[in-house]
Amino acid sequence: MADSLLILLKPSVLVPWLLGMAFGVFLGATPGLTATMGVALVVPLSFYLPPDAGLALIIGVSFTAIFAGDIPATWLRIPGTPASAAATLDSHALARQGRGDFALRLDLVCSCLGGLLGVLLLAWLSPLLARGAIRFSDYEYFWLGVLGLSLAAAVSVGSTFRGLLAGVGGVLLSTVGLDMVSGRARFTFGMSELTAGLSFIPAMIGLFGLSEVLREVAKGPWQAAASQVPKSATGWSEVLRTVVRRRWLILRSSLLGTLIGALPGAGADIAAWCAYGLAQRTSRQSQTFGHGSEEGVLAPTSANNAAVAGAWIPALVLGIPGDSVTAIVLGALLMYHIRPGPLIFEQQAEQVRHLLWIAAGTQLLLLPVGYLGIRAFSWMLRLPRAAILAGVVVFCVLGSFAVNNRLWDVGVMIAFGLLGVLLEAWRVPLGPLILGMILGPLVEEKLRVGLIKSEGHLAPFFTRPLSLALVGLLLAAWLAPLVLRRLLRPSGTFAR
Amino acid sequence: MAGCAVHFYRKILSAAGLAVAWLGVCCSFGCLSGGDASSGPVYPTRTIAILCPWAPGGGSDRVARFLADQLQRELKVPVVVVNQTGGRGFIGHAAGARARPDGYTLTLATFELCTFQALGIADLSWRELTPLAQVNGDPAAILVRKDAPWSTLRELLEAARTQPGKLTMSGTAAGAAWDLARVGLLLAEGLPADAIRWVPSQGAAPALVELLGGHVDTVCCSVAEAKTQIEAGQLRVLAVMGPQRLPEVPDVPTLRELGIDWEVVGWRGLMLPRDIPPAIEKRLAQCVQNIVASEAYRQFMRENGFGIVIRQGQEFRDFLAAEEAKWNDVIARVGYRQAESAAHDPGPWLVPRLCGTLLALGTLAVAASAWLRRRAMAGAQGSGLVGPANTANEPASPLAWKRSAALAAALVGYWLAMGWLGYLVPTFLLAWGMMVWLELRQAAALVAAGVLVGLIWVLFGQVFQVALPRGVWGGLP
Repeated sequence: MADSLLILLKPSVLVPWLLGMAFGVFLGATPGLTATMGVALVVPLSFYLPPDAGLALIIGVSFTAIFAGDIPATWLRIPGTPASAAATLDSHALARQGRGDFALRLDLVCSCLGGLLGVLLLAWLSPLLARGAIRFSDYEYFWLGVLGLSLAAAVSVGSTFRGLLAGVGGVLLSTVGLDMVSGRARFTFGMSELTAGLSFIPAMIGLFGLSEVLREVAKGPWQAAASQVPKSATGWSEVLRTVVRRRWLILRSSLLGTLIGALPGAGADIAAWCAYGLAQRTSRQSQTFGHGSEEGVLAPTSANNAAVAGAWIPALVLGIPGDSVTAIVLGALLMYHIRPGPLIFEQQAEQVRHLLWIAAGTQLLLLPVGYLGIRAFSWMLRLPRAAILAGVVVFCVLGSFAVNNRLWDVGVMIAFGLLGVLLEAWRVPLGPLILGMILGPLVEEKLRVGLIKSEGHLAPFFTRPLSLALVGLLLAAWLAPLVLRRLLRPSGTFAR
Repeated sequence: MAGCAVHFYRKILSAAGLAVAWLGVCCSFGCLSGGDASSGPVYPTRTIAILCPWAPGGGSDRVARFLADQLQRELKVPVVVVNQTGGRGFIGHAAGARARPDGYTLTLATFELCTFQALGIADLSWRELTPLAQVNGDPAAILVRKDAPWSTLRELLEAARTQPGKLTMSGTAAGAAWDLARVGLLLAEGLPADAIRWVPSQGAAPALVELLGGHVDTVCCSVAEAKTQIEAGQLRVLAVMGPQRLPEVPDVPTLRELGIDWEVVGWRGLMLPRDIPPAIEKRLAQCVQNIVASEAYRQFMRENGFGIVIRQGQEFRDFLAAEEAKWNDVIARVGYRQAESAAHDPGPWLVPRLCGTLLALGTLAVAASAWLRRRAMAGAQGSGLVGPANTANEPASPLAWKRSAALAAALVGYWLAMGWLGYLVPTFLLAWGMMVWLELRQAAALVAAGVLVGLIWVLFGQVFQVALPRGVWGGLP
């Protein structure tokens, strides 16, 4: 074990590792650039390096980008990556209250803890979890998708009804393109570009990034520096005290994050939303959520880092990637002759151990590298707002293009930017829309494939034990808070 | 204010004039250096792109990256893989067919190319491209769990004959390669096409999980895709659909050995756009010949479990024509184009109709309640209100929205300009223009825009080899 560590601390490995992490922070912190794109860019480079260094580079990029997305979410209200969308509201509200630095430091520590917990679970529970994941079939995935969609609507600030509408709208938008189950083209209007559908990454970039810029442009004044970054009055001690006080919430969120990340198709963004929703539902101060609740920052940020580690579980043990980033990394692993499968822990134990040490080390190194990223970003914020906004626009365009190397996606991004402005004017929450686009295909596919398998019977959706458990969870998630509120505060009002 | 605006527009015009002049210079250079390759000098002189219609990390992507690496060694210019996914591979193939025939865009074509027309996905056939060489062929295989009750393919087919529609098979999307393999197999045996039900999946990997979990009975995919599970002994291969047995599974018979006249091989190859100058085609064909003869190629294919099947030139064309005819026939007989959906599938319009109805009803409800609330609000409110209430975030004056609209219009213009002028010049103009419009000092804006574009070019264009649009200078559309 000691020699594994020593190998990792050599300069030839450490330098690419740190560079990869720095690049990941840059990518995550820049709205418009995503972790998926970053990993795809870095993988070909890594082949020129020795295996340990190459793996460290790739893993460094993928893990740090998820944390760094929270930085612009806090200062600019623009999430750097989809996984930061859940934490945006509360972090930005804290920033408005002059506690942005506190929010980010809290975020950093929770991300590190969440990631470490995720890696620990990955190391100890992979075989068990992977065997459990096998028993999940279409019926269970369907309910998970519905759970995710309804949670997203429920956690959106403002009207839950409008959130549900946004979710439904997102699902409708996701039906554009070729249908996987039947091969039919839907809503393509003869345009060949639309056969690929509306990719959700440019949509997210437009909805959250460009629409924010379009709104900002209508305001003034301009000469003032971007957002007030006050000299930080909070020290690390307050952050640590909060972490200790909320340790159970962090633990719960990280656990939930790892489990959700372990489900193929559910990634860091869904984990963040579910953790946020769960924290809100079980919080004693749920009305502060969306207005600067520290729980609203803790829960999603630990969950999304844990989910990145969780996504490795089916990847390593079954060869099935949990999200797009892991898919690319898996392909790279094959190039390094690491073959995922049930026997990987027996046949390639040493390589897996290296991987796990790199993953754990990345979480620890996240503290210094992430902190430097936070400081670098607040320095960048002193740049004139004009430059920042122009930069955001340029990166939004670049990021949308680089997803699939098509100019078409830039057009999609612009269209969604306009849509985002419109929706915000009508006070429709944006988060459920994106989640609808992500989960819509999953929900539809699982419903229809499940029906094909069960020969048209709806029974398995309700009678399989795992499905039943999920339906129960769904009902509990919706009813429990109502019941609790009724019991605890008989004169309580519902948030509206 | 008006004076500032005029001054600003004058600056924009002069910048535009400079840009046009620069364009003229570059165009003339472009014409000299490889814009017209047949009469021009040396090929290649700049980066070559291989378009891959499938996602990074997958099998086709890995093959493309290997070929890119080898071509780079042969041609001494950078060769990069550009993924353009979607539409069951259609997007990438269509982009490859649309690219300029100057030898700087190749396509990693795959099996699906011969099925687009028959399936009604699009009017694209292999004749819109110039086939260069086939470099890989992976026959379809039928897999079952190790404890399955059938030990030979014959037993499986018997079970399907006695109880049609009971057994399930998965492996990829409906109408894709392995589904068509199943259909052809059943038709060749005189069974109806739905004797074994197809359960669509997002590729082989999730289908194998379903198989291992006992949710489907069999899977049809290539041996390479199931390599890990086969080696671990969890899955058994009943038959392969190739011309001969595979070295990875030497005990598994082919369909022909079992007396079934059916063969399906998922193939990958390199293609160029149509109307490519013969000199370039010959040069690339020679390079590919060198690559497939090399030990590095054999080693790569062996390590990844990809089958080595090589066809070049006219042999490749004949193979493609035969494939097209075969799939046209099978797909027509099954009626994929006509049938809306498989049995028990509620169809592709269920979810859109449901969502559309919910959305329409919900929007009406929200609009109605907002209207009612506004009527209930007594007295004269400011009539500039949009929606139910004014949030603190919203700028109050409609004039402010004009600025947003102007920016949006500028972005649309920028988007269209990129298709013609490439990435660098329009981005520089947009960044500079936007900063000046937002009242940054012009000198500072120039520097900032220049640094931004320069950094992007260095980091993304050069180091990461992102294929930034090049507009009329060639490259990606």
